[in-house]
Amino acid sequence: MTDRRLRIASYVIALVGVCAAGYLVYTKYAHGGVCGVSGGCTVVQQSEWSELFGIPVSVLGVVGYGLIFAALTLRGEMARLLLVLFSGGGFLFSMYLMYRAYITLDAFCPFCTTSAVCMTLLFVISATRFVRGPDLVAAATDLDADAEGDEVDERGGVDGELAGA
Amino acid sequence: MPSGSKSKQEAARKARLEREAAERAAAERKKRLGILGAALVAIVVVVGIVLAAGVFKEDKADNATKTKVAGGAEVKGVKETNDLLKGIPQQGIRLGQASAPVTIIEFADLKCPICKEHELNNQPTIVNDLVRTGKANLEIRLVNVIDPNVGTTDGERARTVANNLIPTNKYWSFVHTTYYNQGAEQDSWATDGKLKEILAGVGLPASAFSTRMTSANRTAQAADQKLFTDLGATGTPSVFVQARGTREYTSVPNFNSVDDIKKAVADAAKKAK
Repeated sequence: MTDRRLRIASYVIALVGVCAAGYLVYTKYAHGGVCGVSGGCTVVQQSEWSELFGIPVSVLGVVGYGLIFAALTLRGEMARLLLVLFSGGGFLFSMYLMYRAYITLDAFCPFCTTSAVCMTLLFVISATRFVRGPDLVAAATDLDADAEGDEVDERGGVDGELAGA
Repeated sequence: MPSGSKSKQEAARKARLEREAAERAAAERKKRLGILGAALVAIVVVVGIVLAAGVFKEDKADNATKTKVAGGAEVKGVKETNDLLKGIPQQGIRLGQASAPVTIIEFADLKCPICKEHELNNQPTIVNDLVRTGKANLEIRLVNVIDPNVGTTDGERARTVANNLIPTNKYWSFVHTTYYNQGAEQDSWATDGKLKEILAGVGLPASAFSTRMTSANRTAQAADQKLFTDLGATGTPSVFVQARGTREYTSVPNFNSVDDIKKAVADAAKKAK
């Protein structure tokens, strides 16, 4: 699969993830959740682990997807590395929350799980893209299309930032 | 130079270039894997520090005062409950003055973790700002929504015990203290022993403990369930306000916002008769 396709897949996955996290933010602020209606999501959202530093973790999730979207729009090795860092952080944090949800709370929250799966996929794709480096065909296409300043970034794997790293 | 020799040299040059390209690619890959490894270590360290030092939402029950009761058991939240309810009249399921212009009605389940959050985090402000000041009185009407979903009987048992305490006017003390001692949703925690310990913490004798479904209890449960259904409530907690002397109930959808509840009480007070 070309780098371009992996990047498009990342966009789609991040979109699904931000929708799931966004829905959780909405339910958190719209009615706070009630028992007997919305099941595991509200149990998770009202739990001890639903807020970090006073910020709902669903809000942190939306912010995380926002950063991933921003990194996806950028080109170059640094953008790839940022994607690994953002999605990796999101992945580890999601795994911790999944552990709390499934093991500690014994609650199944489909939206939380969807977001965690998206973060996992984004991390795998980001790590794969980073290790593979820029696809030569895609890089050449990008070089044609992009401004001259971007050329250095996209070719960083050869003689750009990474070579100097 | 003979063409055969030239061809051999060309092949050797090609092979060398390919080998060099492969070596460069391998070195490049190794460098990328090294950077990825360093990034992963950084991520693990940062997330580890955040989770270890991170301030998650406080569970007030964990930090509540523990009171030793007969038999040596510890009951959480007895002091907090006594401090909260001190000086406020309890009559049946009602907390506060009967003459208050507004009644806040909360449908709750003693098994419901969100009700616990509401009870421990929001209720103290509601009691102090609205009930203690005489702006409203507060009723908790117990319904059972969790047990059927998780296959337990805790909510039902605790509700029965609570409703049997209505004549003692210690219903509120028991309900509030029970939330401090609520177990996990998936566990069966409302055992006879645990409920008797809570009763002892509330200051009631063991003889006050009863899981018997009396006629009065059945009537109370049926009335609460009917109002719950009639008002279109589907989950707990559900909060409504009712102006004195009227049959008008106004829902407060965002029960987590004490400001919303205060506003609903202020609006309802204007309609009180």
